[in-house]
Amino acid sequence: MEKSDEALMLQLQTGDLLSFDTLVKRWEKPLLNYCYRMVNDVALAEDLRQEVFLRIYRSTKTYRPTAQFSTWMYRIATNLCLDILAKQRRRKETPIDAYLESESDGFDERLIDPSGAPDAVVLKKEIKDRVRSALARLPENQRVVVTLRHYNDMKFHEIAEILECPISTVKSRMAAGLERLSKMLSEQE
Amino acid sequence: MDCRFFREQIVSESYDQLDADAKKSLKAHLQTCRECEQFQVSLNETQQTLDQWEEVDSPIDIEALHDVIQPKPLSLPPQLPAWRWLAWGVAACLILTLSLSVLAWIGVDVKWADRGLTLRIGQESVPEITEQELVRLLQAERHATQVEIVKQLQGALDEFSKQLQVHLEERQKQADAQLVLIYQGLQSQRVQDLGFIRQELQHLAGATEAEFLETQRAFEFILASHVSEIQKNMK
Ligand SMILES: [Zn+2]
Repeated sequence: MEKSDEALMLQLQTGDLLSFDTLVKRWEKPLLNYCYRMVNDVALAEDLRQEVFLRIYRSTKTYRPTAQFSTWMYRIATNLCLDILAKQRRRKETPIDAYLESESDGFDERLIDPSGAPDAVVLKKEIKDRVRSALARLPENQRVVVTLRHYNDMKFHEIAEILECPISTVKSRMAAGLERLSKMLSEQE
Repeated sequence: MDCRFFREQIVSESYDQLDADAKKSLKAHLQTCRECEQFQVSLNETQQTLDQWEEVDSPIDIEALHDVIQPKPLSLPPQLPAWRWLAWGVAACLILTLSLSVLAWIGVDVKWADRGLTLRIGQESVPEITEQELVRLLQAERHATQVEIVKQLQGALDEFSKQLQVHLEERQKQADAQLVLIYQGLQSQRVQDLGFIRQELQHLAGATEAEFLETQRAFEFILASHVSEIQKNMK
């Protein structure tokens, strides 16, 4: 039977580096995708993921199994992502903005595939880009909730724990976020 | 109940996070509210569209991560096993014993006494000196050195004053000779100046005399012309 994240963390506290490797292997993909959806930049997301794992390792000694590991990990990741987004907003050169600018230059251009790929592939790319664009335009507090619930399979009470806010706030942000996404996605069609 | 509440319920249900009772009341609301029903339909479509976004996958370089979290310790030379330390110790003892034997054989006596290691070469021994004696000797030495320094300073001072005297006398002589030269120079200059003045005076006297004669001649001429005028008028 697979060891729980919390058991692995306790093992790591005794100096067993292999348990850390297991945790990294288990969470590297969901964590990367969470960061990617938050910051809309794969390279930046990879750096953020590395930083999250470093912070986890450095706070091994202070980790208490009272909190669920994933909740703790996503809280670290969320704080890092929101910090980065705030810094980017101050610098006014966010990849999100760059993306939206390129979109206004001519959204259709990106759909023309020079290799002459089948229509289905182009359509899939189109949908992917639309989702990416819509998510990037979602207010950060809704984007966090939608991403954690829809893509990272976190329950509402866990998200409330990650964001340290009431569960009702999480639910209303989720509904508002999805409604907004629904509008943006139908507008783009 | 208002639709806003039910829309949150619809979202919760879509993620299978709604209990049986809430599900029942939601179902009842949906049968009466077209807007919420429509919301549910569009929510499902939105969620399906969201699922189209494929995940990215780029495995982390675990070795690189290890290097960051635990920098590799510096490699130390392998430690010597205990038996090798023992061998080195035995070898050192043998060398010491051998050296002492050789020294004894050539007549050097090495002894560890209260005051430390002493060396005795042949039968002659280095005279032993007490600490007090050493202090006295050092003080005497220092006193003798001071007297010698004073003597040397005195001699140097005498020599210096003698040389200074000679130097001053010489400078006096030089100054006298220079004064004589200046006096002679002034004297000859004065003679020259007097000659020049005399010459100038003579020249001036000559010129004055010539001028005087010229003036006299002019007066005589004017006088003569006046006289002839008067004589003309009288006629
Ligand atoms: Zn309704």
